Amino acid sequence: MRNVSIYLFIAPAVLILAFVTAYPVVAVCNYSLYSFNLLSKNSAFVGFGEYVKTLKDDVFSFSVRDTVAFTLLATFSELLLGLLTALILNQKLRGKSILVPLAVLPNMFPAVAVAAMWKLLLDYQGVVNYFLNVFGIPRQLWLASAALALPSIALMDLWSWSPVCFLVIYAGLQSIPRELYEAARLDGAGALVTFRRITVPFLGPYFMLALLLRSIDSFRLFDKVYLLTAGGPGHATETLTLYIFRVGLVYLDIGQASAASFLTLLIVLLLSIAYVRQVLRR
Amino acid sequence: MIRITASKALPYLSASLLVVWTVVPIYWIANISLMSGLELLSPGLYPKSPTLSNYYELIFRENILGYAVNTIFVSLLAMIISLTLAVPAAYSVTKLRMNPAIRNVFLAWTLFSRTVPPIVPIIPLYAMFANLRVLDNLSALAIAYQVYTLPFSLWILMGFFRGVSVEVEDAAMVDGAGRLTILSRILVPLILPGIVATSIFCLIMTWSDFLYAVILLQSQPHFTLSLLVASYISEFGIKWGDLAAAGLLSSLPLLVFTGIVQKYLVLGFTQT
Repeated sequence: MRNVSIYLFIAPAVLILAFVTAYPVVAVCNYSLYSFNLLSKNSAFVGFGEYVKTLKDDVFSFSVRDTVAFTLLATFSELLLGLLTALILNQKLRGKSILVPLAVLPNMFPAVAVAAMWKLLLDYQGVVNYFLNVFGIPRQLWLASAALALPSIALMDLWSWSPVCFLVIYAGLQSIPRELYEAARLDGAGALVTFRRITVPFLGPYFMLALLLRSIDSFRLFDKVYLLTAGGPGHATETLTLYIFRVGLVYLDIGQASAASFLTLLIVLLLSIAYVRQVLRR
Repeated sequence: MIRITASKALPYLSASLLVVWTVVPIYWIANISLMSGLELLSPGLYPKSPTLSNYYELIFRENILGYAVNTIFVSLLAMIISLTLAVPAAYSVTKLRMNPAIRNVFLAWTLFSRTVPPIVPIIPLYAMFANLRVLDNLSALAIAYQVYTLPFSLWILMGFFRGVSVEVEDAAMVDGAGRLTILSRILVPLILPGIVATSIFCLIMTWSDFLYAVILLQSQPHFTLSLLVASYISEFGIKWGDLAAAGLLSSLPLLVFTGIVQKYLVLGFTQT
């Protein structure tokens, strides 16, 4: 009896968690084997037919290409700027109590507000072009050019998410005991050795966590492309989330959207496993 | 001499670059929000005749408060559901003698759900909500938000429960207190700051959501603030003053929320 009551505490949470996370994953696997449209309500078993349809769809390939490109571009630039910010604010500086919250500030704005901000900044008449013009560089159509659209979206993401990398890496830097640096200096270790032997091993796990969190999250890219580029111009900013959204919720083709969802889950799976292992190890 | 000055100036120089990068986008949206009429066509670096007309328009004509009420309702409801479920569950996982295999599966499961792209679960949930005829319903949206808020609350609360020493519970146990009493009379008051922080993180997550709101809500009387701002973005270059003001106004509560949980930010981001 005693043991049963333990599970009474957890049962309601497990029930709802199953409803919102486990059920949908099972349902996606199931729907993906059917040709099922919410509009016509017709449903027929087609085996892997919806997968074949998805893999043959050029727009799906573009979505994979653009999502992976965005993930690499955004994740690495965010880690780099986060690291730089952490190193800058880890120096002897006055006014850190203002600078640290200020560095985090961009992340406080919701995605739609960030999209609004950067639409104004990157506009033809916006402040970015204004300064380019001052330096004699012609004004650019940031979001309407096939070459610049994806980097522009990554730039917005950099502004709003590098603060998270900063915070995590900064926490790592602060966790290194000062005495270690003291001792290394007394032993006559140079800056490079100190960095390799002390900073890197302490910072490693924090850096890894930031890397995994950001790369997993960049697969969620939706708001900015949906609102600012609609996947264009010329499929330059398609994302997997946008693809699934369009197929499933605009065309109401639940079968194919589920097949695309399952393929997306497979792509993210490696990152998921790495993340779960990294967090459980700590 | 020059070397010394340079090494002293470098930290401040790099910090100022950082400040410029952070502040310019915020300054620019504030700048635009204070302009009106022709000035918006080629905006200068500061408003020549600053006006609050955009804000006036939003509050009195566009009824931004109606959108705010919807956002507050759905965020609070999602938060209450998550906390009610997560507090006892996190307690039992961390403090009671649960089968270790079940415990590990549960831990891995909550972590794994954090990594699933949110578009994946919403497709079957949308199909189900359509069948149940609860699309365009704020309470159904709050249920859908459990995809984000429930695993998050569980994981972060487990950390707070682990922080309470075993002696505290043992003392209560000796006094003959039952589990429910220990949880509600002793543990909850002890980790109250952690529970408050968790609630505020839940509010932040749902307040800033756009994806689930745009999928599940269909009629304007039910729209949240994100959908209002989005509707201005998709209008081509006409109402930029309103767009700027709406973007800023809808973000203000988030700045306040985050101010409250500043101490817990790293925890909130890494969920550990």
